[in-house]
Amino acid sequence: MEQADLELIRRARHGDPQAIETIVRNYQSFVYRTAYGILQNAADAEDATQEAFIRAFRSLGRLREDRTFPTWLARIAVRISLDMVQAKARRAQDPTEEIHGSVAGGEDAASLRIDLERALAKLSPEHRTVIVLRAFHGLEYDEIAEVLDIPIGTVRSRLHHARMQLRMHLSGERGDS
Amino acid sequence: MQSCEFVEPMLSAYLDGELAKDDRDCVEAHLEVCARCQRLVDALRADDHALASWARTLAAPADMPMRVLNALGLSRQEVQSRRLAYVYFASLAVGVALVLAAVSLPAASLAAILFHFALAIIRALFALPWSVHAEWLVVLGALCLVILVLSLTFLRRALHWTRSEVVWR
Ligand SMILES: [Zn+2]
Repeated sequence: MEQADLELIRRARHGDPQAIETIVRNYQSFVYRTAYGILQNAADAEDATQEAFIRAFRSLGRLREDRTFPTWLARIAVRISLDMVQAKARRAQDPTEEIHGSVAGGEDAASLRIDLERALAKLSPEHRTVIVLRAFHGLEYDEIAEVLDIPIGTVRSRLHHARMQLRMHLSGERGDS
Repeated sequence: MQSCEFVEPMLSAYLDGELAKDDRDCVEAHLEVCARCQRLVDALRADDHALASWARTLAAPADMPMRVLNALGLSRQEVQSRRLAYVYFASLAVGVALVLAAVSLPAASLAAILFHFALAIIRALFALPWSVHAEWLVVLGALCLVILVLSLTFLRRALHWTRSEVVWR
């Protein structure tokens, strides 16, 4: 993190609205994409993003090392998203239904995206989470381990299984092998 | 030469550059001769690229900073009403302390002071400010003025915080 970012966090801790606004702007894509990858729908991802920032700013006083802010924020976003997935799963039996219904086929790029989204939706939330942290954001294994609070060996094997599962579903969707 | 079953679990970490040199050499030697595993590596790499480019199309709503600020604004207002209460209690304490200090300044008892004070007011009311107790009226009047000014200053500041909050939202 750069000095300017650390300064923003210090100001945000004192409730400076401009600092808070800038931090949200800087990290909203990161948080939203994480939430979307796990939750697989825009409305829930928006709620999770908002909730993650609110929780982060309210508990900013408990963050000991300002340099770890991005990892810490990612951890909050992942936790909130996974909690929401669980809550949804308790309410509805098939949370992926709306994705299947809401997207129409079309051009190659669009249909590839739909295939990806469907395949990702078939993974377990834990597998989706590692895929999102690695493939969406390019986090290193040690960073993923820190965000998820699991050993690096677990990151490695979970990522392997997640990718193989995704590959299997994608081959199924597209009919290749 | 290692088998596919041995190499396959390492392909994901191989893609990420997270293998130790020995394992990496082992995987690379295998990929040289195994078209099946090479295809798998290519496919996994393509999946990663597809995921990354899809992720780049996902954008949070533009009003997210405002949403967060609004939601936090509620808790900020709570903090400010608490601040307002602190200001009032502090002013009250200062006022009481000042009055007590003024009252206990002369060595006389509280009752006597209060009696003199009441007497002074009564005499003043009867247009006798030049009497022997007139200086008490002046001192207490000045004291009241100080407390009033302090209260008004703090109140104005507190109201200003609340107003800037509203504009900010
Ligand atoms: Zn092979």
